[in-house]
Amino acid sequence: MTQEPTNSDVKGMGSRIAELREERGWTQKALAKHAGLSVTFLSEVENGRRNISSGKLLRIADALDTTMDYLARGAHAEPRPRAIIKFPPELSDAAEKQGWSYGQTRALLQARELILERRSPGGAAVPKTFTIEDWINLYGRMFE
Amino acid sequence: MIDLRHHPKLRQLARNLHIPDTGDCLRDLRDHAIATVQQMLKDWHVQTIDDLRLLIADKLSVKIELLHANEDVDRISERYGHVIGHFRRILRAEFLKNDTEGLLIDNPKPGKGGRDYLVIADARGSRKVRVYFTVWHELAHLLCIRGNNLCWQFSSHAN
Repeated sequence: MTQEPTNSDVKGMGSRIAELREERGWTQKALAKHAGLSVTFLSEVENGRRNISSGKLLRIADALDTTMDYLARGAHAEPRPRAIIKFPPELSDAAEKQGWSYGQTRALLQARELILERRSPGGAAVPKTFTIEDWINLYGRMFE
Repeated sequence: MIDLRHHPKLRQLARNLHIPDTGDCLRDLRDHAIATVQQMLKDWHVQTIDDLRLLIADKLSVKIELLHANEDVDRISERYGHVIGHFRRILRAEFLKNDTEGLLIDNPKPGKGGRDYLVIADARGSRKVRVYFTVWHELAHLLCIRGNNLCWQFSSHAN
C-alpha cells in the first residue's frame, strides 16, 4: 500500500499507539514483532518523530485490535447499544421443562446474541428465531 | 435446485439495501458488495490479497482470528472472553463439537477504539486451504448490509 496518511497529527497518532500498546501490557518490542516492524521505527513513530505509511499503520492497527481511523484521528464510534437481557418465551419454556439453571439459561442467550452469522458445511445458518428445539440443541452443544 | 437469483432471503437483503428485488438479486448483491469494496479502496494502492483483506476488515471494523490448532480456541477465549463468562464454552461448542467453519460475532471485548466485530475462521487441517475465502464469506455478510442497520439486520440487538 502506498497511500500517504492524510492526518498530519503525527504526535497524536504516536501517543494513541503507545496508549493502546501499554493497555495491552506490551513492550515496544512486542508490538513491533506483532506488526512486523523494527523497534527503532516504532519508537520514533510513538514519539512523533517519524511519519508512517498507511500499510504499516494498518498492521499496527490490526495488532492492537483497533482501526486506522482511530489511530490516525482518534475517531471511534460509540459502542453499539446492546439489548436489555430479556429471555424469549421459547427459551424460558425450554429452561423450565429441562430444569436448566439461571446461569446456563443466560449463557445460552449470550451465545444466541453473540453469534451473528455462521458458516458450516451442513449449511447450519443462525436461525432468526429460535424454537424450543433450537434452544435444547444449543444446550446440548454447550453443556453436554 | 434452488434458484438463488430470486431466493426470498436474497430478495429481502436486496430490499434492505434499496436494490430492486425483481431482477437477479444474486448478481445485484454481488455487484453491490464489489462496489462497496471498490469505494473502500478509493485512494489506496493495495499490493497483495492479504493486504486487501486486512484493509477491508479494518474499514468494516472487523478483527480476524484464525484457528490453526484446537488450543487456539482457548487462546481466543482468554483474549476476548473475560466479559462473557461462557465465551470459551460457546467457542468450544462451535469449533470442537460442531463443524463450524467460520463465525461472525459481536466483539465481546471491544475496548477503546476497538473493532466492532470478530471473525473467527477455522484454518485447521484441510480447512487451511479454504480459510482465506471463509474469512471473505464472513466479511461479505457485512458488505451486504446497509451502514446504520447492522444491528437491525441481525435482530439480536436493541434497535
